[in-house]
Amino acid sequence: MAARRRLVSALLVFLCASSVFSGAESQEATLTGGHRAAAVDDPPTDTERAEQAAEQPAVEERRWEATEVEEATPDEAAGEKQDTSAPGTAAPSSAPQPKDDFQEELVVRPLHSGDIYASFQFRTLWETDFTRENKVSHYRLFPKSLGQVISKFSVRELHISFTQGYWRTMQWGQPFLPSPPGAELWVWFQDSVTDVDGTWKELTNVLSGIFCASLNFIDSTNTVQPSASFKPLGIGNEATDHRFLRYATLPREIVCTENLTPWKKLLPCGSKAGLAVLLKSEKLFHSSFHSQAVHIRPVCEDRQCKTTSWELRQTLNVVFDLYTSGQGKREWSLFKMFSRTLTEACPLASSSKIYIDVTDNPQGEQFELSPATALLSQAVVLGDRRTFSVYDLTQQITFGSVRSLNLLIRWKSTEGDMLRPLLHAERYVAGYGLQTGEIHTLMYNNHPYRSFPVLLLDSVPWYLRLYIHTLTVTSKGKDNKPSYIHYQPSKDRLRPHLLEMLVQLPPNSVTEVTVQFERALLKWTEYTPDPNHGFYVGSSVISSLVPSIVAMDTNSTLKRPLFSSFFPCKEESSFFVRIYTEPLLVNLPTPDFSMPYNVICLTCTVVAVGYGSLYNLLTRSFQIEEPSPGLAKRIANIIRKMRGVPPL
Amino acid sequence: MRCKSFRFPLESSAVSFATLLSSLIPDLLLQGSYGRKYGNFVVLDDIFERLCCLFSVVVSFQLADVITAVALYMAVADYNKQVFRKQKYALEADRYPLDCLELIRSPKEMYYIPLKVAMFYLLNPFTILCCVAKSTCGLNNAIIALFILTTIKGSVLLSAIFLSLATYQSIYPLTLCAPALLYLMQRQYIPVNFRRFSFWWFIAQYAFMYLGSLFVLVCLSFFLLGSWDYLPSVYGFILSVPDLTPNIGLFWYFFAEMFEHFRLFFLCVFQINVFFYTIPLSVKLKYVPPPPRSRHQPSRPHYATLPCVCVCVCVCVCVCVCVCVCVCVCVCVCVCVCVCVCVCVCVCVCVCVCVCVCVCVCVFYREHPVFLIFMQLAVISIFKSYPTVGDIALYMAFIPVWNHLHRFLRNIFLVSCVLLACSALFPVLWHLWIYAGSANSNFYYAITLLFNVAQILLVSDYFYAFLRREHHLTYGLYLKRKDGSEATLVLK
Repeated sequence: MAARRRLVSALLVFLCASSVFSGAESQEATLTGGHRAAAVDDPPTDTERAEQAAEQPAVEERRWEATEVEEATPDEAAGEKQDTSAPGTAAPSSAPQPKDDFQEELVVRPLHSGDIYASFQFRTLWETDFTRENKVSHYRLFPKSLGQVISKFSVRELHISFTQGYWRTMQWGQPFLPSPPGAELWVWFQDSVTDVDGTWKELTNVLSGIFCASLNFIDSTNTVQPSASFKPLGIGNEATDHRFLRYATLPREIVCTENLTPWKKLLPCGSKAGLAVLLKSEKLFHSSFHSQAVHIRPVCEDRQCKTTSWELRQTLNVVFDLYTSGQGKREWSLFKMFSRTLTEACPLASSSKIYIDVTDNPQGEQFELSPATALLSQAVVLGDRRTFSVYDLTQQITFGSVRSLNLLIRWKSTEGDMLRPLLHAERYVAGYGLQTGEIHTLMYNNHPYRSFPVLLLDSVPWYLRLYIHTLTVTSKGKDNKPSYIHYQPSKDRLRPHLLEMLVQLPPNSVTEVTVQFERALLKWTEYTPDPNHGFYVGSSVISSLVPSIVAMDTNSTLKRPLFSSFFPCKEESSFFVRIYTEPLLVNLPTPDFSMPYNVICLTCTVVAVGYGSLYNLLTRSFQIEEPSPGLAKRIANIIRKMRGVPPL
Repeated sequence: MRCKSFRFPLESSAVSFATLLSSLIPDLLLQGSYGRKYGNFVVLDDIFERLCCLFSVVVSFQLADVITAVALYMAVADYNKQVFRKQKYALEADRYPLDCLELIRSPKEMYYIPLKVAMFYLLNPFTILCCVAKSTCGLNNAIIALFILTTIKGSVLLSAIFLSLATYQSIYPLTLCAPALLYLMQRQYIPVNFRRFSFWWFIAQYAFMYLGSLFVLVCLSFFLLGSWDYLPSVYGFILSVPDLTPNIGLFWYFFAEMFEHFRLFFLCVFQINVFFYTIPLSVKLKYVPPPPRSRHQPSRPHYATLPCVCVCVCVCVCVCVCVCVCVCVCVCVCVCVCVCVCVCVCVCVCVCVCVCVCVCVCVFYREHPVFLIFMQLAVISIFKSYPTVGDIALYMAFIPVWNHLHRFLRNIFLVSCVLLACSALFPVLWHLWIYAGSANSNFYYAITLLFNVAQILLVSDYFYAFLRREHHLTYGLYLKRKDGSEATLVLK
């Protein structure tokens, strides 16, 4: 406690000494920036070391170790330009004080369709033992809101994504991080959680507040427990008791600025410095595809997995259609895409890089990249060896004399074709009318000679009643028998259908999965406000180990570019791919919403007719009709009665 | 079956069969006219689907229909014999008024009735549609027909077993136990008297056999499934009407358009309709001993007020239970969970009350249980939560049995026209709504309303005719007023 108080006071002094008139956040940035400007020739983590020195004056020996490590890898820093801090190697140090590490990265890949794919990845590592139930109250880089969520709900892994638009695999190739349209959330809980469903419900509500999204609409009717498709991505992915897994999608979720702002707030530098300054919502949402995600998982710090840490990976993928918006001129720059240029790295980042995919442009015949960089990097990503030009933002030289980096690509030729993705899928609803229909899922294996298995996961809402006996899987005109089928039937208003299949895709083939369904009539209060727009059915998820052309990198150390190190890779010959199909939009029969009163009245009338006629017959008996006396006679009788005279 | 080509790790293979069943419904009359059995694949643990799965391996749905027809044939043949015998005794005892001879049924006109019943069932387009759709309703009908046969044959054990089977499939045939008890006691000449031990002994016997076989069935399904989850998903499904797929009944659109906080109340009100006519009907369909022929102006029978009291009591009890349940549910927050349980409890309580009262009341009045069966089947098919055309076919098969009532029917022409027109309009308006999109749900709903009104009118017309004939058999066909002029009968 005393150490902590001292630390805080040291920080306060440190802040007060810097400029007084600027805001608290920019204070740190300007100061550390200035610090770095004074020491341009230092290794990139100089700023961080300076910070550490300022913040933790008590821990002297760590700085030394860290410095040693940095100096041990100068060749790597020159060649591969990897993160040089590598704090994990500091494990044997006596002080168990958790350490944080932050990296940021932007990958830009020109797509052959003329679009630009920009993928931001921000990784915060937090060295702490995730299995231990310790209450952590000190947060440095790791966002406190998420840290508290993890410890309160005993989350083991959390993956959440918000996507606007659909990723066109056939035009754009595979994304680094796939995500389905709408919102997707899947969570692995610790084994210690007893009431998983209750925890899940609370967690979705909390996340709904954190991300300003409608995640609170996740309930048992759209939550499934996949048995095979979603394995944990962090350490301990062998222990897979899928009772602790929950998966839900909200395909209707609209992603917009209000989701981006809380997402940006989770970054250590916010959107004030580093790559995050590019994240301006007016540009990001004026795009063909936008996807932002948060992945939290426990990872190993080193190969032996002596120490573990929490990894928070925030990713943002966006595809700009600059070709059509730029009046056919194939030319783009950072400013054109984001209406900002870069002036500095995030001062808290141990690594801050921009990668430009130049694989198709080895001699510069396709496009021209300016400013040019000498740094090249190779990475095996998605079964393909790609070459990237690297811009290291932590080095002041990157920004040149104008102190600002505005990458510019000018296309020279338009030809060149993309490598067809080995696996892609599409889905649609067939049939007409509002009674039945048929879901078709097409899975393409474009590999010329290898067949490989894929796991297909379908989660269909209960109001589409699947006729599971009509399930057919055909490839090349023949019945393709799935080697594993897990089907959980739906229950009305309780849980959706879950269908998981392991299908072997023959080489160079299309595999078609069809299943028929029937549409239910819902209560009038269960319809959405625009019922004739239709109901969304979440994407199918296709997970597969696709045979790789080049040997995959199986060592899962942290010294790889972020974009190529998300999915763990166990063998060299294949790589993991997850593909999401289109969400479906299905029309349901609707009642007439304008006449609940009429219906209640009319139906009750019919029931009353039934009741009345039976009551009439039951309670009355036959009697001979006596002719009723005329009006005059009746009046006369009344008068006679009043007079006390016997009636007529 | 294609589903056999995959190894489905399903908990129940019946699911695929059940979905197969549903999907075999042709596009013509569809769910609309067929309704859905009970939920087939929605109610996953529906054990009955398992039974019917086994059943269908052995027999086909056509066979079920043939069994129904044969059972009805034999039952009606036996019943006609008894009716004729009874009529003969009455004639010998000179109980009928003299001018009623034209109401007396002749063996010649009764000869073809069993055949007509069988043909009415087999050739009814509703039955054919039901069979083509492979609806479980056909199996249900077969069991009810066997129940009627065994009851009329006087086999107490088999009657109880088949009644429990029918109850086990859907709750509604429970109300048939009143006519069965009446008939069996009448047949065994058991004096219907509270103070007689034999009467109570018989009731206990029947209840034991019925409840015993029901218990065996329920336990069998428990052992088959390993859990009690099927109880809410089968009977809760029938009682709480979660599936609003359009059918020919009154429930689907009503509860699709229902305000959520009134849902439970109306659920109770609608479900009770099936049950609460049992007692008054049992009371009303009694045998009135003929008065001495000299008395042409009969005094009002002193027990004529009893049905009235019965109905009132029933309604009061039902409304009280409904209100209680609603209040209870409003008080406890977890409405959704309680709905099922409350409806079950509510209906069970009502049924128990009904049965008790019924048994007590029937001590005094016992006659015409077969007409009571007919009435009860019709009431079930009108007011059940997921009615199908197969249910209608079953009670319509009994219409030839009552051909001696035709002279007293008031609006049979109108009703049959409406029924025919509605049957034709069902698929048309369904198509316009679901496929063509040029109509909406109200069109189809209007037809279901009209169809049900026609059914109600048909049933009440037959009831009226039956009562009127009984009245004439007692007091003579050509009634005269005091002054000797020709009188007209009215209900008062």
